[in-house]
Amino acid sequence: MNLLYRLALGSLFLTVAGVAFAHEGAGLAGGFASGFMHPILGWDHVAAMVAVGLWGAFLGRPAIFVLPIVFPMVMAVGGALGVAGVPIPAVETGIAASAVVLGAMVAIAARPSIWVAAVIVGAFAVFHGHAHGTELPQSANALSYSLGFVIATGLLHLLGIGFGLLVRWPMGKVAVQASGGIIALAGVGFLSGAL
Amino acid sequence: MIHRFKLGVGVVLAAPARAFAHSPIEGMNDFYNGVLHPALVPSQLMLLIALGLYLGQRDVAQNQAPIASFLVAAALGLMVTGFTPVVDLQLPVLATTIVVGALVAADWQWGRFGRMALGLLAGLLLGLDSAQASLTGLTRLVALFGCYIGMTLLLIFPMALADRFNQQEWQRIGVRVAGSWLVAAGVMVVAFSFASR
Repeated sequence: MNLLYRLALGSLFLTVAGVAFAHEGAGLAGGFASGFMHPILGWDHVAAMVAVGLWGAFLGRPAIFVLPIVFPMVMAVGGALGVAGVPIPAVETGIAASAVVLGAMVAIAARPSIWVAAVIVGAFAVFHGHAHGTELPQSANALSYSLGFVIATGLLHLLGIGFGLLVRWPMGKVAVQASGGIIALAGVGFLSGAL
Repeated sequence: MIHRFKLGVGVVLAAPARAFAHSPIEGMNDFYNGVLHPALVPSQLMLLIALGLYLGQRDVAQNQAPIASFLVAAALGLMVTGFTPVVDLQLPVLATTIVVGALVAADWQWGRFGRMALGLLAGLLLGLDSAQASLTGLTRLVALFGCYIGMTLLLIFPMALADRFNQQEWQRIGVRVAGSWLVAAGVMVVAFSFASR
């Protein structure tokens, strides 16, 4: 009896979940979810975004907040170009290269001036933005899609910053630099097509 | 008895899911529809958040005039919608969001008159952009009043949040980052609007 009852209750919950899924993915919410998942589901985006956060944390103030502010603003320009259909050569290569360069910057503990760091990060942001803009689904709400991918990008930066703050401790610094090395290697994998 | 209770819990859990299957606006009266209107129009919500964050980056005492100008302009804009044809103001609203978001990101505070001008512009645009063309008479008035309340609340909440997050440096950075997100989303949609024409 007990088992039968549990099965009945379980079936009821599963049915309920089915109803909820039946209405997923449309309108504003669908656009936001689609945009939010776009950077997260692309490992090349994830690696580069986390590297931006790591590098920002590594460089300390003011880079820790300048880079995450510069990136989305320049990325939007790239996104606008993508939406407008303005072609940028080698976008995917640029995205993969961003993981290599930014990861390497963290790995070798490079400390350029804030302007140089901002220019490097901004240059790569154009490629990431262009990819997001080009792949904006026609059916999605443009505004909620944009909000989704911008917020996801920012959260990935935050993830990198959070981990990057470990540089305060000697072992943490090693861990952060090692992470940069892994990101750079992954970037090489993206570039070569191995990943 | 316990089995009945469990089954009852199951049914109760199932019920909200069925309710969500329909629009949350359905069944709401005109006032609450109006209150939710600025929250459900992303461009309006973005401008309200941007302006709220911008004003909250400084002491509340310095914001009395900008808030008053926003409230007056929003009321004026809402009233005017009753006498003018409905116009799509998404682009001007987004353009203003980009400007205000950039000011938040740069933590660049304009003088008192500059902030008042921003409040006026934002209030007027949001008011004019909230026409309730499908309603008439008292129901329209009630919906517009709801809109006004919704706009006011959605300005005050981020302002209070930014004011609260004004104590530590990382908190101020967080507010600036949020401003940059609003700029980025705004630029993308403006580009999309032009591209799809």
